[in-house]
Amino acid sequence: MTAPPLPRHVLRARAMRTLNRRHQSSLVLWQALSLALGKIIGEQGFESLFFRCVYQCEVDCPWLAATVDPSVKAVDHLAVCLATRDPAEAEQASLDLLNLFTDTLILLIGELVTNRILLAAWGTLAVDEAPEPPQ
Amino acid sequence: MNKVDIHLLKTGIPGFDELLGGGVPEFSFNLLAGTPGSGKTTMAHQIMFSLASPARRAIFFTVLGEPPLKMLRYQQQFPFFDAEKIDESIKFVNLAADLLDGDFDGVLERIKEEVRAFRPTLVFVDSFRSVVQSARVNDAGPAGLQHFVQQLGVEMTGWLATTFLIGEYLAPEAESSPVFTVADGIIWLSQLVHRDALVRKIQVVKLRGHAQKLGVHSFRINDEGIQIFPRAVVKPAVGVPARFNPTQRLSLGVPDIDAMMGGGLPAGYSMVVVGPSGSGKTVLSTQFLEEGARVGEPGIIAAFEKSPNQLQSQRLDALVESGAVGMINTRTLDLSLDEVLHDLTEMVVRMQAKRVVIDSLSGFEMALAPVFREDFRESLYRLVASLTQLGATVLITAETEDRYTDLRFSSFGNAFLTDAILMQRYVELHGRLRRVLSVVKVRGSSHSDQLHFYDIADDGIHVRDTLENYEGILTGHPRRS
Repeated sequence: MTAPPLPRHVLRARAMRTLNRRHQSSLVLWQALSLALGKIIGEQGFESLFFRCVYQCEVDCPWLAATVDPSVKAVDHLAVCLATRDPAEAEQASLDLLNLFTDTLILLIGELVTNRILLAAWGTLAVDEAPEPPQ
Repeated sequence: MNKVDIHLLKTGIPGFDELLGGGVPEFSFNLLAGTPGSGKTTMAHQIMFSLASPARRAIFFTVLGEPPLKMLRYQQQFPFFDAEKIDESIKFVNLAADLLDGDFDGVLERIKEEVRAFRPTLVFVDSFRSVVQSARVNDAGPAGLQHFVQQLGVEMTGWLATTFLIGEYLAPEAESSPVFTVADGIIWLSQLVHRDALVRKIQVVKLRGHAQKLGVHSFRINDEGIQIFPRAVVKPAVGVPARFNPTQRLSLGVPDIDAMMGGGLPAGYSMVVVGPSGSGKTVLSTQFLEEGARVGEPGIIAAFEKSPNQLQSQRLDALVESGAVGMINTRTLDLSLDEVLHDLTEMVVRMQAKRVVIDSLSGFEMALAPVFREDFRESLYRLVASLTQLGATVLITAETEDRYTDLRFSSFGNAFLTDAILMQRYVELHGRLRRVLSVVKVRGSSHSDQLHFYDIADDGIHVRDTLENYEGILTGHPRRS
């Protein structure tokens, strides 16, 4: 028997489907999460968690940690790094980082609260057949 | 013209609404103040999670102080923390960055912006002390802070929000803080360390609009959250004072002792059974409860010395299993009298108990935190008075030291608090250690003044002959008269 997918993965997958339809990258998920989580734990709290995860990924994606500049905000840093890579590789690295980030968050505040925060952040994207934004 | 009706919000904290005179007044501006670790954030969360719903939203602003991640991590260990309420009914907002900028107007604007967007009716700011400290650091000074607090109070009242500012304060600075002037309600939490014991205290210092329960009360933070034990005052906790039929007597379960007391223990009386170790105090208590069970009078025992292997304990367990007797079996230390009385009162009301046994005074005193032992006599008075006013007749056991040359009724000098005294002691006669008992006092009633031998058998106490032919028994020098 296969274990049912975890709620955070379902949320992420749904949101990604919407983003793919719109030809947008997972950076949108990071931006939404940064806003929602930063509001709760503060910008500094978000940045601290984010860069901890970046350094955790150093073995697989050394390019993510190579150019860290304390004056550059987390999501801006990620956008700059991703832009230097092949789109497929960049997207995979971004999603891996997102997984690590949410797993770390769960270690700290538990799955229930984390899922509520992800839902708040990606809620509109994660709804199936999310309407396209006005052009 | 009708006066405004102030709606009181139930806090969800056991015992707290009683202190507040029914609950937190709606739209009030309150301060939860106290020392670090005194339970302010837990109290705020417990209130918030209890009250918040989609129709009554809450917003929790975190400022500098406990990192929000840690707060969320630890607070969700309590069962009241309902993650399902987050986002829909409860929103957490961090203001640390706004405050670091040092601009009070900016912080106020941010709070207003969030309140406008989420439309909460409950607003929490934790920790407000950070705001005060920021005023000092950024030279905004007391005037800036006062303006901020005033504005915040006005804004939140305008939004019909019930507001709680949570802050770490020490008494001296509290007097000069503008927050204390503006607040409608001030709740003070503190911790008292006496010897090795820590006791938590709560006081409703100020509450505009209606009467609060005065005094300092004890509370505990346990796995369920905060539980407050309002300080017992000598009045019935529930309903009107019980009235007793002056001729009604309760049998102790030993007919001969009933006869010695003039027909049993008068209803609504308190009696202390004093005696040295092994003299049969718990045996008599058990018989008192068994007799109650037999005649349909539910009983309660607060057992501070119960050992599961004793025969008496097995008899007590049988009574408890039958449902005729409730047991408060505590080996917990550092209790407050109010916790014990809270549990007893609740059980007396629930079981409609007519008989209460406290076994024993020394065990009870040992279970209390050292700070409460200093007021033990006063505490005992409140305990006995509260229980009898609820309609219970109270039997207390008290251990005396094994002294054989003088007469003592209790180690604590507490015997005067009770209406009746039954004394048990050992005497040496003809090379044997014999047990004797006597009724020392039954207030307002005639009673036997004789000393009787008695034995303890498997089925209980058996009263034997009097010691009429002896004198000097109580001074340790018996001789035939």
